[in-house]
Amino acid sequence: MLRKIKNILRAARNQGDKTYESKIVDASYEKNERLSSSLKKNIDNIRKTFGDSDDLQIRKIPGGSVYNFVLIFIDGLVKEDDLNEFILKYFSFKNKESTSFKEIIINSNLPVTSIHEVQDYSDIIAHILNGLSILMIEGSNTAYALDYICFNKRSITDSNLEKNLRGPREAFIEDIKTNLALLRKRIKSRNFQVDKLTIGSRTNTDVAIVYIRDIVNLDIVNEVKSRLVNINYDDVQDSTYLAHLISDNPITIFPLMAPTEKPDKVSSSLLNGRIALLSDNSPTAILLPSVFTDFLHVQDDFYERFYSAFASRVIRYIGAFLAVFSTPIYIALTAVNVDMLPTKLAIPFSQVRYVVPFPLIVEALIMEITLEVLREAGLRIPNPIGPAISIVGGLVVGQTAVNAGLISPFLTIIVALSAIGSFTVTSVDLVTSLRIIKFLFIISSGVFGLFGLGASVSLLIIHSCSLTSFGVPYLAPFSETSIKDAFNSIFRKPFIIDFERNRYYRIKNETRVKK
Amino acid sequence: MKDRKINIYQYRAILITATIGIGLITLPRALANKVSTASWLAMTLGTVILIVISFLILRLLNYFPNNNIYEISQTILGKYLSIIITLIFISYYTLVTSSTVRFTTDAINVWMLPLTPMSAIIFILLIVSSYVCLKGTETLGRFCTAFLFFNILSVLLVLFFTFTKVKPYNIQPYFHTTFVELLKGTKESLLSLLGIETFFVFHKFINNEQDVASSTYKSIIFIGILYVLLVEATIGYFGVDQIKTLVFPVISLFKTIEVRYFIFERIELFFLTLWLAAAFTTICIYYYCGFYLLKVLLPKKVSHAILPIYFAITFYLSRLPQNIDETFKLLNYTGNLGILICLIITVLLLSIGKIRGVFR
Repeated sequence: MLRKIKNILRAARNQGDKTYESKIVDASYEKNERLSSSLKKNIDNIRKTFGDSDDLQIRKIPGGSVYNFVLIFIDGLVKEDDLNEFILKYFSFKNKESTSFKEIIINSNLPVTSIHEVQDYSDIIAHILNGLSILMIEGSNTAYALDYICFNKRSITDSNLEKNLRGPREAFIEDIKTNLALLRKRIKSRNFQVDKLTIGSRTNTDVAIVYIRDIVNLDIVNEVKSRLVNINYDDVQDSTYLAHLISDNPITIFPLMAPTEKPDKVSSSLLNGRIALLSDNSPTAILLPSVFTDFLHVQDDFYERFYSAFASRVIRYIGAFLAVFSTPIYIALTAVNVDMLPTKLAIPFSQVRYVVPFPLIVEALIMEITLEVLREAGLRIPNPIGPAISIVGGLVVGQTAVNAGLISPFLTIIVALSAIGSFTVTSVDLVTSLRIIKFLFIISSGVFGLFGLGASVSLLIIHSCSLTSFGVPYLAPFSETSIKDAFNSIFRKPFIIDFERNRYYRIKNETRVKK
Repeated sequence: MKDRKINIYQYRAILITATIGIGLITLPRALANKVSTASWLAMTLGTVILIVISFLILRLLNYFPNNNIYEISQTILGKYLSIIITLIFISYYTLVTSSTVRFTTDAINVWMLPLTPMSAIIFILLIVSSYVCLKGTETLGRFCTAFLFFNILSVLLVLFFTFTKVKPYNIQPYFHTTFVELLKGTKESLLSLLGIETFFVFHKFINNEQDVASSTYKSIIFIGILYVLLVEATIGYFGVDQIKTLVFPVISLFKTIEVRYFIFERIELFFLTLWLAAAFTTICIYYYCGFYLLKVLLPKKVSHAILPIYFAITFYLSRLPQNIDETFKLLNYTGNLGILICLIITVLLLSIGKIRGVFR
């Protein structure tokens, strides 16, 4: 019986006797090899280099009596309408006089944005991969790359991740040209500079380093460039890949570079002497160098009036503090340093805890982990299921667990407080690390109380003191100079007295006003 | 230029945080025992003497802006004597670390964690300090600057809470003391003011040498003023007779204060947590100094491997005192050694250097 089924399966698998032969062909040109004057050989070489890939289009054009043209491009990367309209018609009918090929291309009013002359195979391959169309001719060892690039891209919309109340709403999209234009539109200065590199040995992703030449510290720019050039990795899908690859300390828990999707934030940071890293196919710009306080600030602070910005920053700091410390302090005070609480508060705490079967630290860990699971579940869930999660989470965790006597209601309040606090921190990177740090604090304060909490806080502060982001210390506002820098970094000054950039980015030009 | 990792602010922070440590808690009692109400005078005298000492030390160090104590004594005294001097320094730094760790542990044991074994607390304190040692001078400078705020805040907290409650008759008469007693008291105040001897290690790292002298004197005067106020406030709050009976007078001070409608009923734990930051920076700095000099003495290959051994020695020394009385004796002994090092070795190196004409 079993054998029968096996035979049937095997028969089903072996339907048809055709085998498939792989057609992988090695690159058939030497490094730096030039084009030859034989059109047939050139075409063969290019075709072999691409392994005879099916989306490589090689279109032969019988160009009247004199010339034989060939047009090479990749399907889908070019505006085919324009190619049909201009190239094919233009060259097949118009040019029958025996002027030189170069003159036809250069002097004709061919409607195309840019034409490059190329003679190396490697250049031709790179141009084809970038979406340019290559025009070659019988008997000439020069080819022409024509810019008829056309990608489909998303239109500019607002960011899902970074919401703001006031100020510009547009966010970056997945096209680096558009993103750079969005920045250029905001900073109309000749000192705004873009340096482009190609990173990723297989993806060959365009990467742009953007900075303001007369503000930024050029040593940092050179450091960034040399680190980018030294990347030996074949896959760059997003600019965050770059951030992971060039980080000062890849294994630290703190985020050392700030990703953002908002061009206004990027341009404001550029004017503060920072550098932005953009990558093609990525709606995220990486801001560097970054210090700790950068992750707690939002661009909204500068659009709001001074007082409301001040207040909302203070609230955000309190939120961040609660997110990390509310549960550990509760544990330290109720499990270890009980005598620190007022008697009127200590009695209800212990009364409620009396029915709970677990030790406090276990109870807290269960609650925190449940919360993290709920949050993770809610993050990428399709919209219609969202309410279901909140009902299940709210009812099961909030209500039933307390009624069943598994969790004490005080702890529920405290954990909810820490969750709400964490929502005030807008930087996703920082929130993630704060959530992980919280577990360390919970355990240490469960074992050693306030002393354990203090020791682990010191450990983390020492660790963050040892971090640098492109040579700028991570805690620079607090660990470098006097209290003035710390104050400037924590609170926003009103514009009428805010004449100086923050010094801790090691910038060249410190003043914002013309002298 | 590669070694110039510390700027002048961080340098100042290292000095202040190295100085403010357990002195914050023990000083009022030690002074009251010796000179009773003339404590402020002893404290002021101590500050003046410390300025003289630091003048001598800076004088010596200014001749060698790029060297630490080992290299300095090597230039002046030759190879073998310099090793002995460095070993004296290492043992001094280790003793300061272990006695401070021990005193901190005692305080934590009495006030915060009465049931936790002492070794566990010592272990944690030293583990965190060892992490600083692995990270290096830059990290230590930044860490001290970041914690400077908490150090000063812990002193200001004392002043703030006692400000209205100082009884004038507790701090009078102002000059009632004999000369010998005053000298003893001055020595006591010097023990709490030490911290300048860490310069023998850190001086070569500063990137702004011109400002060192002025900022050193400024910092010492600042600490002197803070400590005079602290001592007067504590004595004025308790009175001399009562303060002599208290082991941790400043913590006891917070125990008597009740802050109503505040979440924490026992404010002294809040103060203790702040003070832990102060003690902790002291421990880190001295521990790092000892480790750094050990690294200098030993070949480069074993430099990080020495840390566990150093850890074990410090741990053992911290476990050594049987009770708080012996801890105080250890502290006293260490402090005396510190004064000896600051005065005798500095003067010795200066005079021999002058005689041999090493200075240019």
